[in-house]
Amino acid sequence: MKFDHLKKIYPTALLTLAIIISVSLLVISGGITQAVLESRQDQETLELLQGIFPKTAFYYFDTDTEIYTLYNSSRSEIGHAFYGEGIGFNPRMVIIIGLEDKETIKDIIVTSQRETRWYWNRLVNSDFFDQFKELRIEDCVLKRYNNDGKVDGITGATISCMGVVNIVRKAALEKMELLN
Amino acid sequence: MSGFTKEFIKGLITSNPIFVLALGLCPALATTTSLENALGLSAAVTFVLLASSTMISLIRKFIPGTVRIPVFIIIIATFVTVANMLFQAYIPTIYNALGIYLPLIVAYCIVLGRAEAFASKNKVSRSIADALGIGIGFTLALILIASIREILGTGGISIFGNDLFTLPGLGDNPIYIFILPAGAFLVVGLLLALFRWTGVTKNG
Repeated sequence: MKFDHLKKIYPTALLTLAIIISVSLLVISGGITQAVLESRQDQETLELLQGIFPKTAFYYFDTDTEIYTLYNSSRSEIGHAFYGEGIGFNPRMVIIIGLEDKETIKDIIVTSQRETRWYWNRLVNSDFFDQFKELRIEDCVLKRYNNDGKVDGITGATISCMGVVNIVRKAALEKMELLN
Repeated sequence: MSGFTKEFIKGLITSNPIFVLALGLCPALATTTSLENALGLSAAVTFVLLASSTMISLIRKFIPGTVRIPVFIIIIATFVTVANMLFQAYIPTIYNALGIYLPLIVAYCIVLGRAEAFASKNKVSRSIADALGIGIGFTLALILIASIREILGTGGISIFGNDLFTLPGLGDNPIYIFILPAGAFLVVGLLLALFRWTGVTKNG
């Protein structure tokens, strides 16, 4: 009688045991690979930031403000960087923006976008992105819409240009307030 | 010939998963656009086959018939997830290129098929030989299909960013259809026909 009862719960117990062993194995594997993934992500972020500030040796990321503070090899602060995102012709465009000081953009790098390739290539193959180097935040406006603006748009890809300018300006103004 | 060698050779030729059993054809068609992807998927499938067959064979006497399929699936899914994590951490290029086909190994009939038809009924050494034979047979088949498709479709072969060779003439004018799905069906179909015709894969 007692043996019959055990026989009935045996399959369920075996399944439960298999799940427990499986989960334990996955937790161990996850722990090992997570460290590798985080280390690689750190390296990728550093390389990305070095694309804006070549002298970056290491960085500190403030999780509250979501601002990277960059340092050179002699541990001096050389600038700040942060992500901005928004819409161009298509959603969603993500740009990393570097600030040399609290008023001047050092450079920008578009890390992801879904713009129509033909229009986007017009931006990439022109000097559009060079205009953001050493640009004052207040001047980050398309000339077409404001005489004080310092950024020339690309004819035929105006909406994509406007998207980039708006994302950079909005993010820079927001983060500038946090830095002040 | 020892039992181990016999089981191993069987998986390579007379029970080749792609050209004889016609199992795992979906990934064979989808991921063989380049030799690099084929090697990545083959390595993952061989690892999962070997690990799951060994484990199932080890515990086969303790698994009641009523829950055998769920237990097999748990074991296979565990090893697939481990393979997925390892690929993501150590070979991200191939992990990104394989996309959904890597976690989908859990649903490959070739893996569950060997667990149910062989590993659950045979001792560990024979199950290891079977898994290795099937895994390497799958690898060779994918290498053959991917090589043909990549050479004809791109004009050469490159692995991990290194160009192994470029065919003169074809390098400038590749036949793009071979890296498209239609090209995959063409190559697999022609190879299946060729092996049947020559009798290489004839059973027994």
